[in-house]
Amino acid sequence: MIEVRNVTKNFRNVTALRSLNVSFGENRIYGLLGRNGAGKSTLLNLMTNRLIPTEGFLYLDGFPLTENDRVLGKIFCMSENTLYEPSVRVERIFKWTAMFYPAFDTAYAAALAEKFGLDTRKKVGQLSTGYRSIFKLVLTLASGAEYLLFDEPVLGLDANHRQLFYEELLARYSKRPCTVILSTHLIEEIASLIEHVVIIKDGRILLDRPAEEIHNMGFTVSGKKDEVEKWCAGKNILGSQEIGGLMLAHILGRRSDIPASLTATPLDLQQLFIHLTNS
Amino acid sequence: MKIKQMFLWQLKSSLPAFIIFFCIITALTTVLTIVFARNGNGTFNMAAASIGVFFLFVVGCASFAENLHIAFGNGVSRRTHFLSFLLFAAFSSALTAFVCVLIDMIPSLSPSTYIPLLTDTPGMQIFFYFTLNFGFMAFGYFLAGAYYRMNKAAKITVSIIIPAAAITCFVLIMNTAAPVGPEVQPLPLFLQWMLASIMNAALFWLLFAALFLFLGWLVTRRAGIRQQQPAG
Repeated sequence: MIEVRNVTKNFRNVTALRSLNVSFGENRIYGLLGRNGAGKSTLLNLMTNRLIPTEGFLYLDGFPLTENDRVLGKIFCMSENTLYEPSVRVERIFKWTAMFYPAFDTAYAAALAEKFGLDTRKKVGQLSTGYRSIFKLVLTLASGAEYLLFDEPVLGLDANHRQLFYEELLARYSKRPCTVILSTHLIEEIASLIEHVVIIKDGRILLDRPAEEIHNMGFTVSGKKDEVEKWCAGKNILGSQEIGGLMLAHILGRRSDIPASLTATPLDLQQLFIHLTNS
Repeated sequence: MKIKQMFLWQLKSSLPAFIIFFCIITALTTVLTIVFARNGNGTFNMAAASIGVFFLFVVGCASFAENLHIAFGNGVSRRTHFLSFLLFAAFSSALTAFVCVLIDMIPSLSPSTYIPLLTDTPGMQIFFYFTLNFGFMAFGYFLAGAYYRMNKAAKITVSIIIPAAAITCFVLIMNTAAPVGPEVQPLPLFLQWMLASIMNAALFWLLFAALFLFLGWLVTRRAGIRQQQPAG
């Protein structure tokens, strides 16, 4: 389990994280959500020792995480930054990663590269934005680490590759359970994957709950605009959308007495996120 | 600790550069030795070992950011990254000193045109160049680390002030007609001591290396990932 205890991170005049407390348990898929500048990447960088906290401590399985090689070897993080020299070939980086991560599966990496159409003979600098993301995804999935951290994993990926990534992630997770932390803005796409949601706002944890609980926090009703408006009057509405004569309303609270003319579905995570993080 | 892995990685990634450097220096030394031997006039020494010092300074400069990013990407701590650099610097300094002293022996195949740069035993020369290489590699590492940690304004300021101050000091020293005052007497005395023997010079460069390794550790111990956004 990764524990973040009272962590504050300052960058000169900016406080990115403020006395943050959060834990990431074993063998679960987490969604780390937040608006731009909320502190998601900073948190991931702290959890991988890429940044040093200004205050507070981080632990993995009870051991201090900062500057601890043994513990850091259990984590692999795919970050937005490419940490490899542009002049090095992808296949060479696979070999080097196997040196640092003994559980790195070279055959699996090669198979994934083939599935994604990644040419491993190319140099990192020759890859397009999308393929650079794919290269980092392949490295992370094949790393064999117990904690896989993804910071904007689908940056520059087309819909087909995004779908393939989600499928491969689930396949890897079911074959070899591990802790996955997905930090992304594409909430709708990962909503069905994640088991636990952590929302950060202004460097603080705003919400830290299982996805199941979040779905039960509210519901969405749809139907004819007049009927939805009439039924929703006086209720705690998070937001609404109109398409022609039809209306969709996201409501916070327990589901009860919904007329047969309206359809009720579980609460949309993205709508909740928008509502919670709007200033 | 992943010192072995980091050391091997540095070795593998730097190997082509070292091979190319040694090949170029060997080829140049051989060609120039032949040219001087054929002409029959003038004396020649390639000073390959001295050229090696500049090469290792560049290697030291290149070692910081690249290695640190590899360390960050592969779950390696700053401490391990620094210790692996220390090992690699010692290894490559010794290797370069040994190979370059050997290369410097090529011109001696033409005794009529050969003039040695140092008259000490090869073993002593290797030790001296090892310390010199080590010192400059540590200096390069520190410079790269310091620049890595600085923001843009600090980089510009340092880039202007340090060369300007060095040039001003040099001009002032060169144009001072008056004899050196007692307050600066220790400096020439120290220089005299350093030049007295190759062993003294080697000791000086060892101290120089120790100083810049210490400063190098100071810039490493809290270095973070670059291109970092303030948050998000």
